[in-house]
Amino acid sequence: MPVKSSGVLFERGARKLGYHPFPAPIAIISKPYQGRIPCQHCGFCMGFGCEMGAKSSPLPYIIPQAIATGRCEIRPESYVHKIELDQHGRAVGAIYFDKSGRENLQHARAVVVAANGSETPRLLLLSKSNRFPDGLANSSGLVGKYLMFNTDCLAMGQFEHPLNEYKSIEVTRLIHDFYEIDPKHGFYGGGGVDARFLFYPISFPMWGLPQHVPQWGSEFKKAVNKYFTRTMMCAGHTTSLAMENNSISLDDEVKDAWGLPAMRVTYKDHPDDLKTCKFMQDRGMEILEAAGAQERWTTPIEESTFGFHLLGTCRMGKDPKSSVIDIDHRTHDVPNLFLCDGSSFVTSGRGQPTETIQALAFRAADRITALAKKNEI
Amino acid sequence: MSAIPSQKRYKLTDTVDFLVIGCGASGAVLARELAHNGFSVVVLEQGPWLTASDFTHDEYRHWTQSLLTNDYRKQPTTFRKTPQDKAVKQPHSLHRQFLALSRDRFHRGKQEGHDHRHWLHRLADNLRRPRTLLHQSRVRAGRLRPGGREPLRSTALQAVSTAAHAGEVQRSPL
Repeated sequence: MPVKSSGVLFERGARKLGYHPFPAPIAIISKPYQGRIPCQHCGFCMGFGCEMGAKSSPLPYIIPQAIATGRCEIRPESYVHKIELDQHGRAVGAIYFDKSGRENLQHARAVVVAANGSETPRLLLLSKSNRFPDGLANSSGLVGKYLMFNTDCLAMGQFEHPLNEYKSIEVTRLIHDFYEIDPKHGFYGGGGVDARFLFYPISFPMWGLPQHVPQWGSEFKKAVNKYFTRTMMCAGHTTSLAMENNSISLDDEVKDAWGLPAMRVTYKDHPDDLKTCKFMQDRGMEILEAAGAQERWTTPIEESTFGFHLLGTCRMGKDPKSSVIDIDHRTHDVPNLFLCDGSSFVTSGRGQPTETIQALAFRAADRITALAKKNEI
Repeated sequence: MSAIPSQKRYKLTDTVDFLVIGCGASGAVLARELAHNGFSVVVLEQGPWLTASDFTHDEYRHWTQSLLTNDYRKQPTTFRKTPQDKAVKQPHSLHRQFLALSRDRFHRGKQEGHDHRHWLHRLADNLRRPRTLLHQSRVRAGRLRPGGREPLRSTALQAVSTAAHAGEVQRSPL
């Protein structure tokens, strides 16, 4: 992928400070590949679907291959709300609402839940039974606990010449020089800093401009004209520490449109996570200065009220008392129930977990296949 | 990408080898690998099957209305900081969660008294005193909104934020 203006400036600034910028790994194809069209650099990656199919989400790439086996059916608009057990405590399938709202039970020899770190524990908690009154596979009491988001921070800079950052992919350069922050600073944490723009034409004037710019009028208009093409940011992506109080649970009062208890999120960042954030934002500001930004500004570091990365809520481990799944992604409590997604994590790493989640899925498929072939499921 | 491909169909009464719940980054990989390894697989996915023609560059629908994620109206979530707190319903979209933050986090222009509420208070004045005859005639002809040209962003912010708090913005269907 060609480097963006932000990548060039980031590399310049980071090298001046003695850091080691490198090309960001991205799952977007730059050349035609297996019948797929390469990236057209339209600039609408994050939050948008890729109509080119160049962004390697499962839709243009993995799902067609699954279907091509002739053994896989994908049923969209199927909202699962219970995993059904037999009298021996084995999963027999799952009950779901189809598009018309009708309840169906699909039978299966084994069930794999891959609904990520919030919906996976919610489904287990919804699947209460006499055998599992506190939620399915929850003998440890840890289903939904240890939720981690990954924290993030922004440092923005305006440059003399247009950067036209609205074009092309999100990120082309980053540093991992602070993947492990020296404990001498007095807190635990680490992460990366990358160069990006993040905003779009509506969101930038609403949230991206520096604080001194008026919110309307000719000065506002002039500012949008000046800043939109000349701004880039250094975004930090950092650790969230695992804490038992941070969790996904079922709400006592609020229900969803199907009458099921809504998801309740309990979350308070560890003080070290916020210190890590501030540390990384400061590095971003230094890089922008070294790169020659004319003006720099930040957004305040605040406690999270929502998250993008949903990790840790059905943690993996050997001890059934302190974990939900074993090293094969099998739940300690139900032999033919597997969980594999962000919920399997025991730490949050340093942010950007999707590739790790996918790698875990490939590994889990191998281990589950091996167990099935040995007739051990 | 362009169309939904034809695929193997199983009956509800068929006992398939694996039932995978969720067809995202992990579930799709598991389905592909398990099917490739010879097993029969059904994947249950709560979202719709989207194709290339569903993807646009409409920032309002994608960001403001969270087009590609769960509909928060149908599937609300609640939030609290600690187990001792009472959980409250979260705003209906990611955009509105940002807006909720933005009152403190992205508050700009406040020192000049130029925030969107200020403009709202001036709306009546603007209605009474169109600035030019041309402007006046355009307003009368319905070709300009009362208030003229300058507060485009303010009206957008005001409309979205007040509607968000009142729960008025309707999510357009896919």
